[in-house]
Amino acid sequence: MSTTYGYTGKVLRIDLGSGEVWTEDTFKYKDFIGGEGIGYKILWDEVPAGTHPFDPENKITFGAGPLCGTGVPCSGRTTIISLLPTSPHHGAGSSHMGGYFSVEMKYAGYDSIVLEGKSPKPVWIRIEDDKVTIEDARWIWGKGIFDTMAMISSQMGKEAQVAAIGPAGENQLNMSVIRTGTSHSAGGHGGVMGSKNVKAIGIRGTGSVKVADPKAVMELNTLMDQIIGANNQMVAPSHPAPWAEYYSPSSRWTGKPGLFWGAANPPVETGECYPEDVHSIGKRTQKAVFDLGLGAEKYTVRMGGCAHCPIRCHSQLKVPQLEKYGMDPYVSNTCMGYASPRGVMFKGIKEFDGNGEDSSIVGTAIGATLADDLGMWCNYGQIGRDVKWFYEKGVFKRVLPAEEYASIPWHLLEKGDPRFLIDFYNRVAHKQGEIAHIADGAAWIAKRWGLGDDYWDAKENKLWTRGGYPVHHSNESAGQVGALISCFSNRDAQNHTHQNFIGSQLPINIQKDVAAELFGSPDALDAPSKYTRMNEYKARFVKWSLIRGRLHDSLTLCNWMWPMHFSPLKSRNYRGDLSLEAKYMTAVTGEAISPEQLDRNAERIVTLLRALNVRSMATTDLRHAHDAVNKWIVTPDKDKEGKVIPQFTPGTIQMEQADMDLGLGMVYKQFGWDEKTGAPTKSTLLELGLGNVAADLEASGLIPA
Amino acid sequence: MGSTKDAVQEKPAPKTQSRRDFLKVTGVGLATAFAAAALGCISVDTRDGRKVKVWRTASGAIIHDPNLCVGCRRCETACTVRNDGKGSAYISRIKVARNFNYGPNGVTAAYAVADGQHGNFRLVGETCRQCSHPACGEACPVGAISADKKTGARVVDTKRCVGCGACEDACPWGMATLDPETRKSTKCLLCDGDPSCVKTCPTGALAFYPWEEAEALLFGTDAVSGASA
Amino acid sequence: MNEAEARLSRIAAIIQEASEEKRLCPLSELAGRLNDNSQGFADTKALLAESAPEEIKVMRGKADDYYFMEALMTEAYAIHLFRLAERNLLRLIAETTRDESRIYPRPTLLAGFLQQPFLISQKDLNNAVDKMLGSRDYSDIKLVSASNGDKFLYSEKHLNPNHAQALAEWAAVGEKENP
Repeated sequence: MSTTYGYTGKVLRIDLGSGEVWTEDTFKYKDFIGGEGIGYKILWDEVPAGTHPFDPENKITFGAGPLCGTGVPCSGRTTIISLLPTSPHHGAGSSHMGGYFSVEMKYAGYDSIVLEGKSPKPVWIRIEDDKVTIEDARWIWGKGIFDTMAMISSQMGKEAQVAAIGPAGENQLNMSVIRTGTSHSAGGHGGVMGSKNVKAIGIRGTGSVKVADPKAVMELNTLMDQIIGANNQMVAPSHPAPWAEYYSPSSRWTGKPGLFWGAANPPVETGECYPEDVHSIGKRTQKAVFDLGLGAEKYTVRMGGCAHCPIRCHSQLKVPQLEKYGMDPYVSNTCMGYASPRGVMFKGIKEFDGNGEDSSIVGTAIGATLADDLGMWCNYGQIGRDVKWFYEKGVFKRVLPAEEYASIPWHLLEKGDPRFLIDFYNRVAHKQGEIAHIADGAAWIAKRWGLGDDYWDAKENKLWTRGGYPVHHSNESAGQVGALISCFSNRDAQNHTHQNFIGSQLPINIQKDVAAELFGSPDALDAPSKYTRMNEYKARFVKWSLIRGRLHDSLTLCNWMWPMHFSPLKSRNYRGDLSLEAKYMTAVTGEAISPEQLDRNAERIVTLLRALNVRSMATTDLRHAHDAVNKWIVTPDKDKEGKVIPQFTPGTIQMEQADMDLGLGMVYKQFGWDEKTGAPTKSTLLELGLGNVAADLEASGLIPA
Repeated sequence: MGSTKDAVQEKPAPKTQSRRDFLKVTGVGLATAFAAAALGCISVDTRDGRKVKVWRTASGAIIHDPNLCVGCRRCETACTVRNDGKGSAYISRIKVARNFNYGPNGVTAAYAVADGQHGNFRLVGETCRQCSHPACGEACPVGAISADKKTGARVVDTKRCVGCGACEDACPWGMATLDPETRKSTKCLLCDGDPSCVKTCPTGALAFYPWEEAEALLFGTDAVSGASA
Repeated sequence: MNEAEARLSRIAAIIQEASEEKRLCPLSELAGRLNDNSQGFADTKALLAESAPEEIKVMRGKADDYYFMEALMTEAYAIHLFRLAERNLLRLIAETTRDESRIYPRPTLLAGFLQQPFLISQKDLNNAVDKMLGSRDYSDIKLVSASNGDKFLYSEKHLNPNHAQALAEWAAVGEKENP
């Protein structure tokens, strides 16, 4: 086989029903870039409409892209693509995990791994370079993910990277994860693995990913050093610093003199973290104090994160108090992994023995570890809001059998005792009782438990559409830009392109200048909480964000860092470089590609996902069937006196129905979709080279008139 | 910060415990040793009639600090993209991946509190020690490993390397690695004096030390490098 | 090198040293370090005004003049230090608040003044804010609280009350729930 650059050239296929293992040529999917794009293409071509996510006919792809494994900054993520069990129409979706899995997969020789069928008994998949076997998993079935990984590594060797499900995935909870490493969870697809009777994939790769122009890659890495910021590509520090013109307390660039990894031995000072200093990039983000407060400094052993990423956004803690709860003291997590158990403990957290000045950190660490071991997904924090709503509104009391209700230690929740989390997560993950259905996801639980408009339309529940997923950088992030981005997926939007833009922490004028350069007018971006009505430029911003999101999930680059809109350096006029993805693609693969061409390929993926939704919803009218937001989003706020605060006045971020309708149409137009329905038109599909998609949809009468 | 600051432990100052005893080889005078330094490596006859190789001391070595390492493994690709034109953990001349999850000892029942990401978060990276008497070089049957004229690093001449794996078998630290794709040996070559891994490290966990200090850090009684395991 | 050049280079070295230590170099310190008499003091000031190299910047206060090296310290940071050096807490807090309400825009977290480089004591901060909120000179400065109790100041010249309230609530609570 001739040398391939960036791509390993092989997609690994495993039929669990027949036990057959084979490979196919990656390059037949090249128009879909890699990762997420290949996953959607496989769903379109091979998984028929109406397939249940847990049917053997469903397929699940573990995807990496051409940049993964080459050391390009922030290129360690794995995109997992399959039908989504939480989606009421079982739409297609991706879940993502960081860590080291995809890099190992590529070093073993595979750009993607596709599982199909269903094994007759529990198995795990063992991959050692070109040796692929399906192994008996009865000895690990039922185990938590931490032990599962250790047990598999005891068989494969300590170098193996493992992706596994816990009891939640085995029990086919809709809200379950596939996890790799100690804290990298892909939410939403654990049950798909479980339905196929696959406990884990273990990989060991001794090969490589070849680079066409190593010198160019190294030069681009040097350029990146001038551009990369802190977590979420924030480029100003959280505090006034002698080197910085700007700062913001909201910044994740928290490293500074006097702030330590306090539990390192000896403690490590994060220090000044000058933006020119390559050797402190990994100290810029002291994420423990950002996620958990200043009290977490003394528990911080170090920061961690993903393969080939200098920005370390996972904090690694030693919390000795955990031993009181029979747990090991070492905890690793980030962001929502910490925030969601805190959400479940909505009455606050207070340790049972009264010693806990750091109760909140201890309780959070307990919850994060439990959810990670059991393999539960929080639906981006929805589980906490749901517990609160169902408890306070009497839903639990109404729907749980009396005996079950009485057996749940609500008094611990009331007191804020984190032992409630131990009971709660175990019940749900092991599918014990009616309460476990809380993990069906909002759309299904609303049907099962008869939840009405009050549930969907309550602002505090933060549910975006009847698709059952919540806000994730929605209307609070650049107004209609974030709001519209949240309408196009089948789960929380997981799009950080716009969030990293507004989260740069730079003054609004600089952001508006860059918005003007990119989208044609500074009006593409409103200042936070000071919104104006929809305009064409915002629609371009939405299109840009969706395209780059798909691009990164396909390359695979971390969309929580990329694209590089800004730089921390005044000498660069704070400008990043938005052609870096294309430059890296060119250097790595040896085939010159422009940013426009690359974006066009990603646009194909956006439209393919759109077509998948038309197919799974069996209607062209996505505007009403898929994209319609819940009422709370388009209802004006009221002030303390009950007076309406009109939309588009400073201080409110509420949207307006007519404005959202206008916005949807503008975005449809940007993508060449039917402006009335939002479905892809035949001509757009043909222009994107999606002729087979057009033909399939036409045959089903799903092309807009 | 209070308590943790008070508890700061000073990094032990390097104490040199020289194992650089090659000058003691009988029959080898200082002049010969200087010649060796200039030429990299020569063979000399000992008084009792044996043939021994005399190696020029390396200019230094790369040391990994487990307390600072955040496990991004950018060093590994920095090494292999520069030197091999590809990303790879297996042939990287600095080894972080292999101890990453469970530490140097591998999985044990106590993995949750042992070294590694799945334990106490201590990441033990391993670097080439540029040994005084490099087992890799001594074992090579075709003389493909010699001391680099500029850096003194023990480097592989890939044109001469026959891919027999003797160096890999010989290295007591498990550093020399046969590239399964090229069937050539890979080992740390100090990148012409400007190690790519060191330049890339985002926390300064990797540093190049001149030989005297490196030797103390790697082999001294107060060795701080994880590589001394 | 003539005498003035030598003197200037000595001055530059002292200013650079201060900037490296993340502090401003007051003229009074320069004079002290150079053992200036009153004539020398005036000379130093004049010398700097006439022939200071481009990278040396000055901020003129009521009590003193302050110098810094732009390559080592941004003007934004120097302004914080300048306001601190001038020892007018009310002005420091108000001007910082006005700047942030105007530039970013955002309300200013009160607790930020307890941190570097301000390091104002809680007691002094409370007193200053109490005084400021009743003072005519600072009538544009208002206080707003988030639901978790975090307190912020903002300038009404640049932010309206609803806007400030929303931004404060997001920074204190919303952001943490939506990471």
